[in-house]
Amino acid sequence: MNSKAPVIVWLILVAASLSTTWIGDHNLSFAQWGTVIVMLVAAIKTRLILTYYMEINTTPLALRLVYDAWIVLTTAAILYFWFAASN
Amino acid sequence: MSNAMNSPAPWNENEEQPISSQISAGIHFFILADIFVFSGIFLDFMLTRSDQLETFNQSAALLNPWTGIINTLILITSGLFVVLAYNAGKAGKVDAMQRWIMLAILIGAGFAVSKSFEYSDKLANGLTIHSNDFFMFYYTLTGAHFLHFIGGMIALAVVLVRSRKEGSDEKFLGTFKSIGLYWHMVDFLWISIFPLLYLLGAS
Repeated sequence: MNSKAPVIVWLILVAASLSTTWIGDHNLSFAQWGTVIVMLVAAIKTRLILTYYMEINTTPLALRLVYDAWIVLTTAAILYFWFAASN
Repeated sequence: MSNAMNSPAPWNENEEQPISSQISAGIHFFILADIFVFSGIFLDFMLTRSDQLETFNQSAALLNPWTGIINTLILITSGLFVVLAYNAGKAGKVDAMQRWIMLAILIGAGFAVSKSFEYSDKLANGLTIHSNDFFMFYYTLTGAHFLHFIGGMIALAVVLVRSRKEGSDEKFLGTFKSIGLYWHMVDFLWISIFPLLYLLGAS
């Protein structure tokens, strides 16, 4: 892989990190949904690191699926308990 | 022999798989085991939080998310430098590889500095692992992550020293790739820990 893609991904990661922290810090009126945005962005950031820094797309499908399962299950469980506790 | 050539399995004797990829294959299993253990702690955190919503929200508000974000930026930048170092190594540019590894370690050290300021600030304000369940999780998660970080920094330093002798040798690149994968895990684990502790319910 050339080095251009990782640098672009780095810019996206920095922008995403700063904006989600701003959302979290300002506890906006849509705070409930703000948390959903923050956790989904964290999941996407993780997948970007796995794809562009760890190059998991060059590994077997089974391995990629386990990584994806980890991201989906962890994010879903956190959001489930978040909503369960809020209602 | 012909079976091995036709097999779609990834880490066999297939000529298309460089030695570096074969060496780094095992680290994925370690990473997966590790991150599922962290997920267990995340779920325990969320479950305990459900029973002590007020305490957890008030405690989360005592953390400064901008301190947490500095740590995120440090780790993703150090991660990028490791990628650039590995790419330079693959291209046979040993000097550039060593420069990027050094920068990755240097930037990474900022995480330790930032964390020590954060821990000493918390302790000075009487917030310890015994303060309440939120801070028990705070110190457990960030502490376990910090130990992983220390391990990664030591591993990167070893890679830097070894690179002086082994240059861009295929076997060395395999080891470096494994260390790099581990370092990226330290990075993306923080990406989950950070919102969980610093952002969720902080008001």
